Amino acid sequence: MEKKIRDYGQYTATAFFEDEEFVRHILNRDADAIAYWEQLIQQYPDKRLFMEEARTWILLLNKQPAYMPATDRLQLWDKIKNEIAGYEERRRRYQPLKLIFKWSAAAAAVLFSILILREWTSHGEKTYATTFADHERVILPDESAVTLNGNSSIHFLRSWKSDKPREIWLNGEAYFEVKHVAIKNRLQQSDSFQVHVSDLALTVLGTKFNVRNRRGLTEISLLEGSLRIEKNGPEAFVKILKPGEAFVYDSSRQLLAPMERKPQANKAWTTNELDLDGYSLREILEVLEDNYGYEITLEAPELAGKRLSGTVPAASAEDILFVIRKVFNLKIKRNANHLIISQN
Amino acid sequence: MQDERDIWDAFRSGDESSLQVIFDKYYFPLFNYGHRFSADNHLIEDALQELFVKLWKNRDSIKETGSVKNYLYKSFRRVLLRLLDARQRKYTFSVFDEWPELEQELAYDHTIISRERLENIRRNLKAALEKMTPRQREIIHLRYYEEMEYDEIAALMQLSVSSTYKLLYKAIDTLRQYLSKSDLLILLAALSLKKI
Repeated sequence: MEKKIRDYGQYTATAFFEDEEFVRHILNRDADAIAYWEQLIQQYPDKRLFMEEARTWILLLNKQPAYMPATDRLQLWDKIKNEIAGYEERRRRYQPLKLIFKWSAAAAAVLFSILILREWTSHGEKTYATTFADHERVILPDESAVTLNGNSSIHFLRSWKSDKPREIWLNGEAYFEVKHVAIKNRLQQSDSFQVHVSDLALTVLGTKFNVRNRRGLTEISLLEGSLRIEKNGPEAFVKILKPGEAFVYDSSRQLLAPMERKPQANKAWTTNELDLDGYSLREILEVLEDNYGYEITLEAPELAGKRLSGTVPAASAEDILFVIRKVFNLKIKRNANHLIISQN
Repeated sequence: MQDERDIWDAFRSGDESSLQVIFDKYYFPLFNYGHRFSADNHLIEDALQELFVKLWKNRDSIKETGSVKNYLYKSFRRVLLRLLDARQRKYTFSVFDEWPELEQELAYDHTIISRERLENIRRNLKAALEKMTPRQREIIHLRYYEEMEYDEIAALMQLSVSSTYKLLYKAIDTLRQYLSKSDLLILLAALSLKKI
C-alpha cells in the first residue's frame, strides 16, 4: 500500500466518496486496506469527519435492503416454461416450411443482387418522363417535389451526396417545390438545388418555381423564395429573381427578358387549368402541340395574335379546344393528331 | 459448486434446467434493479418473462460471456426500458425505498457516529439524490449498490467509458453542491476539535 502517494490534504467527503480505493476498502473490508486507512486518519486527523461521512454514504447506498416483491417466482417460471414449450412445438411443426422459406429467400437474394448490379451499371441515373397529356408528380430523394407537365422529362443522379449541390436536368416543363435543407445561418454551396435547362443553370435553396422549356425559349417563373439564373460561356450573365417575377430566355439569341405573364398564371397547369391572360391564340395552340402532342395548322393567320383573358379548365386538350372554338368561332377539322383550324 | 459460466454454457447448448438455475439465481437481483425503474410489479414480471423467453429462443446465437450477471442486467435493462417506453412511462430511477440500519456496520473500527449526525447525513444524501437526474441516480446505484466497475457500467448503460466517468462525476458534483453546507460545518467542527 506504499505505492499511493496521494495528497489527501485537499480531500473532502466527496473526494473520499469518489476514491476507488476508499470505496473498495469499505465494501471489501480487506485487513491491509483497513490498516492503511486507519493509519491515514492518524496522519490526517482533520480528515476523520470527512472519511466518516463518505463511509456513511457508501454504506447507506450499499446496504439498502433488496426489494422483496410480493410476487410468485415459481409461477413466473411456469409461465416462461409454457411459452418456451409452445415455441418449441411451433418450431418442430414449421421446421420443413422454414427450410423452403430459407431456400426461396436465398433465391430472392440472388435476384436482388442482379437487380442492384443492373442499377449500378446504369451509373445510378434516374429518369422520369411523361407522355403527351400526362402529368406526373415525382418526389426526389431530398423530399423535394417535381410536377412534370406532358411531354417532359427530368433526370438526375440517384445518389445525392450531402456535400454536393442537388442537380437535376430538365426538358419540357416542370413545377418545382424544393425543400430547404440548409441549417439556419449556415449556408453552404452543398445546400443548393440546381436545375439545368437549355444552357442555363438555375440555383435555388428552398423555393417554388416553374420552368418551361419549349421551342428554344425557357420561361422561368418564381413563386416563392429566390432563384439565380446563371449562364456560363459566351454571353455569360447572372440574374437573381424575386418572388412574383418571370423571365424568358431565348437560347438562339442568348437573351433574357422579363415576361408579361405572371408566375401564378404559368403554374396554373399544375391544377389542370390554363390561365389565358397574356396568351395569344398562337401560344395556346403551341401549348396544345407541346403538351398534348397535336400537330396544328391555323388556316386563319389573322387570328394568331388574338388574345383572351380568364382561366379555362385544362384537364384535357378537349377543354381548351372547346373554349377557343366557341370564343373565336372556329371550325376544327380533325385528322388523327392533325388539327386544321379555320374561321367558321 | 458449479461455475456460473458452465451453467451458462449448458443453457446455451439447450439445457432448460440450466436456464431455470439462472432464473432462480437472478430473479430477486433483477427484480430489485427493475423496481428502481418502476413500482409496477406486473411490468417487471413481464420484462423478466420476455427476457428469459428471448434468451431461450436466441440461445444458438448467444455467445459465451465473461459475466453472466452483466449480460443479464444489460439485456434486462433493454427489455425493461422498451416496455416502459411502449407503455408510455417515463424513465425514472429511485435509489432508495427504505434506509438500512447501519448500527452494526458503523460500530466497526470504533467509528461511532451519533444518531443525530447519522440522521443529518441521511437527510442530506436523500435530498442530493432527489436533485440528481434519473441517469445520475442509476449510475450511483450501479456503482455503490451493485458495486460495478466503470467499464461494466459503460457496457450496461451503453455509454463509452469516458461518458460513464463524466456521468458519475456530474452525479457526485450534485452531491458536492448539495452537501457543501454540511461539508463546511464538518470543516468547522474539525477545526474546533483541533483547537482542543
